[in-house]
Amino acid sequence: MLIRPGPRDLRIIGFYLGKVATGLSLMMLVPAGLAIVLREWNSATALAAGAGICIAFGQLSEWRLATSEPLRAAHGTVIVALAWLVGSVLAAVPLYLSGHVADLLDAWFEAMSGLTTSGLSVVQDLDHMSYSMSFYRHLTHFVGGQGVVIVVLAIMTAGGGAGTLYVAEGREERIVPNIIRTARFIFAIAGAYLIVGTAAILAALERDGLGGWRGFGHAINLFFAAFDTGGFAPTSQSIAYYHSVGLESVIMVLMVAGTVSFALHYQLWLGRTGQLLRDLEVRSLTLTVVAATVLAMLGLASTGAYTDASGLYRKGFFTILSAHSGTGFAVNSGALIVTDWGALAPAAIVGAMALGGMAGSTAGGIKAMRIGLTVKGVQHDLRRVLHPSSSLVVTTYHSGRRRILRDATARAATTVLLLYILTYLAGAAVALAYGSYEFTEALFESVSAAANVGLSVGIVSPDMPVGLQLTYIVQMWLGRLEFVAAFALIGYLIALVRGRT
Amino acid sequence: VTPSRRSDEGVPTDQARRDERSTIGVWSGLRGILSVAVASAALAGLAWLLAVGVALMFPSVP
Repeated sequence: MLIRPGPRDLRIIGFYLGKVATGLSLMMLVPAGLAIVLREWNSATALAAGAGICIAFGQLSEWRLATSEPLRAAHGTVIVALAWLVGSVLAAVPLYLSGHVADLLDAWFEAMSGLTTSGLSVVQDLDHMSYSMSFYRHLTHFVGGQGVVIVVLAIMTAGGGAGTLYVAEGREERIVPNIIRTARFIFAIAGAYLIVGTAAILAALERDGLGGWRGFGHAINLFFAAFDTGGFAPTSQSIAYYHSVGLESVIMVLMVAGTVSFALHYQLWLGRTGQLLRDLEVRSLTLTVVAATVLAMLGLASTGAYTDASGLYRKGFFTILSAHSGTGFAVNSGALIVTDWGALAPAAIVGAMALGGMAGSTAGGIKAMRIGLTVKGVQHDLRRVLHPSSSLVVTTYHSGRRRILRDATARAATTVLLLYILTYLAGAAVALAYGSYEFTEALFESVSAAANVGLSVGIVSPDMPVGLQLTYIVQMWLGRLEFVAAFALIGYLIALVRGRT
Repeated sequence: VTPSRRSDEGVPTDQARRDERSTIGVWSGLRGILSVAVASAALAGLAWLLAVGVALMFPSVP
């Protein structure tokens, strides 16, 4: 029987949610300042109103709920699960007031998609969105990619509960023992890539004739979307708008950087490049990317969609990397994938989206580590069957260091893998229930939402059914939290009603 | 024996403490970014070779 949470527990949760709201106000004040400089008054008003609501929420919780009570693991998990829900609702306010979405639900969908680095979009007339609002939209990728709670930790140093919140947000082990230093190191990586990546994108855009401040605006937005494996783009045609091989090359490097775990970044920054060859996740990810690329290219060539090496590389490899890294940038119309690319190439893309990037990165999906551990687990079981019963079978893998595969580790990886597959199928089933979509389209869009990718074949649009839209919002939330925090929240709510006092 | 980053009880080990004291500066950052860029280039090169191979397999498709 669960223990019913008391008023003190709810006070702690409310207090920390207030801190998250205050942190989110900064995410709106920066583009609000830009809007004022650019004299985009409508956007400035929308962003200031959003920031004002966040600050009011934060101050109210500070005033009424301030507490110095220690944060327990259960609190941390519930706070994180609620932070993504409350945070996305608050982040939706400026988008709603911008006039680029039809209603509040569309604004919430867009904000959830931005913060979870999914990149599915229901914005209307994107090509005429103001610079500041477009910047805000892409900034949600950056804040969500680093982790909403991590942002608060890094900026506000949220006291003794930092470690609890960090773990609850689904991060792997701390990169360095001190949690605040870990959060700040994550920002140091992002900051370094921000400078180098934006400069590289700007150089590629300049070369193709999109320079100056306009080019810089595109560059910084594309950086946020690429490095944080988000997928929003400043134009409705995504990366296809630019027709630039140079840009696509820079974006590919940034997508790879985004899908690399922060722990591996840390090892590389320390000069331990040998980790790239030994790490289980790197091996697993490389193998699945190569396999999906081969399948996609074979599919594209066999249907005659693209038969020259350049077309296969630019459409096939880029799309697979975009799908596998969880970015969701498109180099062609999404509808073409199901109408002109046959069956094999879309299947390879769905597979790549489902698998996702590395654990502890900004990428979504099942994660390369879980795939690697599941394969190792099967391998371990086979070896145990084939060896004499008296022999001691030990299976090891490399992740930062050499580790022994425990049954519990392999079991946990397989469980989450199955939960992802169930979520993918459930989303597809909801879409199929509307009777307007083919199975391929329904599965494609469902996997894209739950794995936080953002590629779309056209189901996600401003006029999509409300029930399906809510399903995708829940899928994006579940996928980003990797289930644990979401299930803990459900358990907490049940305990509130039926728990023992 | 490779020193572990963390004992079973979750206590940071000497290796982890040394890592924390390691200086992360501009040059180490550039080295890290360069490592990722080189790895990406290697992956892109492999993908290009695969594209050439697949294109050669389907020469007659219009």
